[in-house]
Amino acid sequence: MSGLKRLWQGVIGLEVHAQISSASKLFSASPTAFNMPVNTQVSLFDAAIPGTLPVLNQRCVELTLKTALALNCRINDVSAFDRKHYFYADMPAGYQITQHFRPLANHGRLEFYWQPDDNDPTSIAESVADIVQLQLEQDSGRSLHDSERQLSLIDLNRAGVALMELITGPTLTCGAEAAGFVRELVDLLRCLGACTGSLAEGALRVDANVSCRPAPPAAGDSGLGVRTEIKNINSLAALARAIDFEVARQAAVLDAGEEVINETRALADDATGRSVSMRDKERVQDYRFMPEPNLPPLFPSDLLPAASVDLPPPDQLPPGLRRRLRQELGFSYQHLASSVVAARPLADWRYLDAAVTAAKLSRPVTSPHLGRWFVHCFLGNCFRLLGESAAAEDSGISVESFGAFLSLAVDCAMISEEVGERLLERMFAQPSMDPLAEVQRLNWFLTRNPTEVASRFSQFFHRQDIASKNLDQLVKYGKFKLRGNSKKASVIEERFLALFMEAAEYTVDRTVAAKVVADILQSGVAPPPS
Amino acid sequence: RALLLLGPQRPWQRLPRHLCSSSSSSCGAADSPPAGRRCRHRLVPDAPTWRNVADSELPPPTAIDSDTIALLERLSLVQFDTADTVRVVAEAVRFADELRLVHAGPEVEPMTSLPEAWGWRCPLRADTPAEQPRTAVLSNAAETEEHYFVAPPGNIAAKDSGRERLDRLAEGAKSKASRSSRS
Repeated sequence: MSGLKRLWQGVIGLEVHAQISSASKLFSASPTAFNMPVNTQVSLFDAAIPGTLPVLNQRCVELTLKTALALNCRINDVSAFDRKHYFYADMPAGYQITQHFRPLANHGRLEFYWQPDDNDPTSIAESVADIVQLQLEQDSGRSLHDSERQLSLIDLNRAGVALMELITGPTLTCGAEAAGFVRELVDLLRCLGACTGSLAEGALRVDANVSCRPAPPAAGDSGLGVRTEIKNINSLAALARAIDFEVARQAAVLDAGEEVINETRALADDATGRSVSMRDKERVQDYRFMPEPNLPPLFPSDLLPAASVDLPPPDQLPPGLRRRLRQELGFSYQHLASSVVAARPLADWRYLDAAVTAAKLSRPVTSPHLGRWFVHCFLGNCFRLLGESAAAEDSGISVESFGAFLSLAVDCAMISEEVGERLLERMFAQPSMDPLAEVQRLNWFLTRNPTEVASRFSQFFHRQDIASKNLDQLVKYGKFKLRGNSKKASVIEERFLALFMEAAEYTVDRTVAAKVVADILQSGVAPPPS
Repeated sequence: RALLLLGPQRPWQRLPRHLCSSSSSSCGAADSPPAGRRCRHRLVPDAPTWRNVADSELPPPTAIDSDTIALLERLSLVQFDTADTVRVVAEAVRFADELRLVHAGPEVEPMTSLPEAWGWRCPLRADTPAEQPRTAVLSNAAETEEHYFVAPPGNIAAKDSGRERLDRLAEGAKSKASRSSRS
């Protein structure tokens, strides 16, 4: 963040609440379907009618254990439930059943990639987040506030739905890193079938705990500053902006010599990340945690076999898959972060792998364009022509053909990007085609020789239609050159370059052509005789 | 401060059978204890014991100041309206202070539920949803609107004190009562 005195460093921890994809609620048999009529999915227990007791949903525990295994957590031998007391109309019992003292799992880790520099799409960084705690808890109902009539309308359909709470350690440093973490977590939860991961629908809720400390930290001082909590975050972009805004705000407060107040803030403006204080420090909240007496302890090891039966191995889960795509195939952040990576079947990546071998590209692949060719162009054509559920192999293009294409197109080895896109479209139309033969037949090879390019440009330049249409441009160019106005002159040069490239069907190298155009225009300032 | 004894039952008849130490078969349906045989757990004394706890043994009394009152009112939604209420709370806290004198030893884990002491594990339920009729859940609510429960406003301004909110709640209840009596 430019303009900020690099005196303070953000310290961010996240609390993520993920709604578990089970058919019934955590402690009762009410359905959990989305958007059902008001109060039609509320059992007597959910409404806290006396004489009812909680009974734990086995599927919820299995899905949480599956997530804990995928996050490399240490699963506790014994886990228990606790009551967290506070009064709010959408929580009829007056307490929420959660796991405060003995959660299901602790000490996990999630590796993820993120983009440190918004303006540079090739920038990429790798981080590891600590998952301090992973626990089960109940969700509360929904309330609609009517301030005119001074009342709230309460819908308990969501009350009692199972939530998985993940608490990360304070190791994140900025908004982009936090967004990268949540993106990877969402892909992982979707892959495991534990949660739909939709921030917009409220299936995944993220709260950020933000504080500042001196950067670099003073010797011997490992303490953390006063933190604030930001709530009401509905999207990844809003999360990043809210965190950066709060870090900047706290840095300004600390620079002014004042102290940061420990408070809860609500995100008020998604576009700027501005948050406002919800409560002040006088309102201390005491949740009076106590063990839930109606639930004996849970022994997670009893359910581990059921939880791990369909758990993919680590290198097939989204974090591991992304690591291989990055390290072996050189994918840039833009294509790594795409949700396409986690959503495609593994067969697609095996197809790509085999094609890279067939293309005899050296490994690890260093070109950042492989991601673009496969994710953007190849899969894009697949979606468009064959539908989203089609696999890469359904295109009919063999691994050898695609490999031949890659050896032509990657890094503009033999054909330009525009030609490559057109060639790929032709290959989808006629899957059995040999790309090399086609390029030879249409003479689409890239010309890099300056003399050849120059002669082609002269031919183009002296075409009747070009000369007549652009006479005024040439006159202006002459004037600009005489006056020494190089910026406007280069605009005209680019215009001619664009026309030339289009006429040549993009079979000339762009940098060579740009130089040729500039040279010829500068040398022949006077327009040709018409 | 005395613990209340149970009625005139025989001590060994009050205990569940399996807590009898050693040779439980001797604790049959007999009306009198077998001669020379203890039928109780080793920690249960032969005769009831009382011990009056002196005030000096207890830790210093907790001060109930106005900040604590405000916090308790907000946490419990109980109104502390007279000085007598505060005195009662202070006495109750003093009574509970006796628990600090009990030392069970570090190896004894606190028991949080009786089934846990019997060795039960948390029972589990299959993930099968069951239909929930809306009428049952809404039937107790005094006021509903288009099948929503109606509640007092949830958003309280930061400067509002617990007492003002309670006053408004009381007013709202009174006006609702008068409205329903009029209609």
